[in-house]
Amino acid sequence: MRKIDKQNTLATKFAQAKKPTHYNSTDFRYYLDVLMMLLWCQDGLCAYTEKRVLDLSQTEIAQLFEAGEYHLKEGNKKVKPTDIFCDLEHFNSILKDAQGWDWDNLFAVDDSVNRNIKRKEEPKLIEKCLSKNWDFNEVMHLLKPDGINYIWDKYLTYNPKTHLFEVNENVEDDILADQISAVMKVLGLNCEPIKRERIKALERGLNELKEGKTPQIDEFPTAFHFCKQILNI
Amino acid sequence: MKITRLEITDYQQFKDFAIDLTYPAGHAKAGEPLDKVCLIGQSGTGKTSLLSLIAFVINKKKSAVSHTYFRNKAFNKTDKLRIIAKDIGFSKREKIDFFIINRGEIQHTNSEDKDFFDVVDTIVDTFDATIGNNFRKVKALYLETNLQKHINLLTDFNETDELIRRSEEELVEERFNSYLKGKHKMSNIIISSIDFEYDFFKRLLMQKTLQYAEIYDKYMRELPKKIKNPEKLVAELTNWLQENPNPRTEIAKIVNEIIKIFNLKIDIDWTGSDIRILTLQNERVYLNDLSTGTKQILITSFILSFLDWKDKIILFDEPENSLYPDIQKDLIKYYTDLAPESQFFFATHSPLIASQFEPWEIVELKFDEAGKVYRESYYEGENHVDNYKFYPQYLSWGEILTQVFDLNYDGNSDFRIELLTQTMRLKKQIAKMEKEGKRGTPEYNAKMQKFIKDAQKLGWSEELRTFYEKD
Repeated sequence: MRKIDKQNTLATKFAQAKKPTHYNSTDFRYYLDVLMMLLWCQDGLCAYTEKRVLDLSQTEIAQLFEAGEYHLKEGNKKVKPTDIFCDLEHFNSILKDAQGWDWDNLFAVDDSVNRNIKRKEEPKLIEKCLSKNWDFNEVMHLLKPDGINYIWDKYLTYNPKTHLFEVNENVEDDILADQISAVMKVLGLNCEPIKRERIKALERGLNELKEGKTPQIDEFPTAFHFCKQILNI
Repeated sequence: MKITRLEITDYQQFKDFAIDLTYPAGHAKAGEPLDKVCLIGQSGTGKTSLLSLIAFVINKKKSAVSHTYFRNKAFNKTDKLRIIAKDIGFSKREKIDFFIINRGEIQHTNSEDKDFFDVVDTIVDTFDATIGNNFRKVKALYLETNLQKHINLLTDFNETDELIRRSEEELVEERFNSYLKGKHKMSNIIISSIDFEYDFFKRLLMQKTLQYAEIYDKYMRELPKKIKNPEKLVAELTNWLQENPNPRTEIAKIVNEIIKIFNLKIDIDWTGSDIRILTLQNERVYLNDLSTGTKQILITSFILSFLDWKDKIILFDEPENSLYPDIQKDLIKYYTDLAPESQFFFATHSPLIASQFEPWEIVELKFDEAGKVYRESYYEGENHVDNYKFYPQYLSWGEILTQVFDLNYDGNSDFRIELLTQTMRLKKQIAKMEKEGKRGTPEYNAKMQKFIKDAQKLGWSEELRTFYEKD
């Protein structure tokens, strides 16, 4: 999971924009505006799993903005909702009601991960935190992709054999390891549909690397980076 | 007859629903109807509805294909169902007379009556009795999900011997002659009786065994006349038995092969007209005492192997019911081998059942956002055997669950993935400690003990072997 920089010109633009008072995902034009800005920050990838959710690069999304073909006031012109396979996701869902349009808490996330994993697993983690006396917000922040202290390889590593993300072996504290592992589950990093697509993309890329070619990997960059490092290719 | 395409314009959750049921390009049977179809999908997506609808249309409402005659709670006047089948013609009927026998009461209506549809409502789930014992006219067999409740299909044969000796047509004619008073010709009417379906099979099963018994008796009575030449007599008897196999013995050969797993067999020496089951240790077991799964297998096997199912459609809801996985994994081949020239439709929730199909034979039903049911596409681009995303017959059970049944995790998500990643981390930590010369320290030993325990839980025999060898 890469570090995501959301403190950029778009963030300013977002702060200046007139937002609806309450969060409403059915206010589709506005919803898409925010989603597009996040996708620009995320390079068209899911914030957590790094699966490609919009078939446009960061440069291409920026060109849309520059050309005035995509901006807040008029909403989406070139990109149709059906071209985007992701949801606007509240990292900490507890804040959704009170701070629905809080830029800090929003990410563009693969829709199946959001609907099938995050929504189901997050309440379980809240319960776990309560039972173990952990601070839920602190625990979630361990793997918040735009967190100030977030470093992509500090807590996580990738296993090219199992194709699963793991808690980095350098994490000595078992409680911390348990917490990281729990957040990984909430973010769907190892869920099967994503794992399957990741294997497909990585194997193609790694084979090309072995053949001396320069692979064009446009999704799962962190896992690919780990694989190259661990397999020494 | 085999179905090549199913189109439903508007029926329950099916709206503008169309599925192709032929082999894809690149297949040896490309363009031909599928031999077997597996319906999967979340509860409520309409698997059972599809099975019963096919049976309903093919057996009872041939005319519904082009003319919607029927209306009931499920079928509105505007509903249209079109089944495009190979080698079948549906003829238009201008007027239909219905005679419904319900527990001795006879009702009559025809398609020109005002109350026609309401009366027809009551026979929606019944069997078209005009086929009588003319089995050739049965086009589709619907094996419902709780088939085991009809276990008496195989019992009480003696009680109804007399009934069986007379044909269904004779019975129908006799019962209706007084009512019809010569006004109608039998060929123009449809007669239905409630809960007739399994009665019908029972009659057929019994007829077959009784016919054999009668011929056998007749033959035996003639034998004493030939007693002058015993050798010739033995040879003739042997030949006769070979040419006229006892249907009970024949079916036992087939059914015993599968029920031996339950420690059971059919008693082939029993001369009565019902079916007797023994344990492999020759103790009698009463049919009602059998398990639900055993009853289901017995009934299905009898129906499929006793009767000629050539060119018919067999619709089977949840064949896996009450059966252990080791039986489930071979069930489809077992059933399809019993009627190799029929087209099978199975509806299932079992990955073990789905694993016995080629990807183009699986019809996965899903809801779209509007609540409409659609078929999930398993191929990209042209419908060609090479373009399919997965091939269930070559996948592990876990892979079938995740790839075909869309389960998010391979294994128990709450436990396996978590332990798997934790154990991999532990393994790396152990390797790191070894590099640092900490082998044998209490901390190392504790991690090692935990690793061994967790690896056992994960079923990692190879990893454990490596570690034990190291020690």
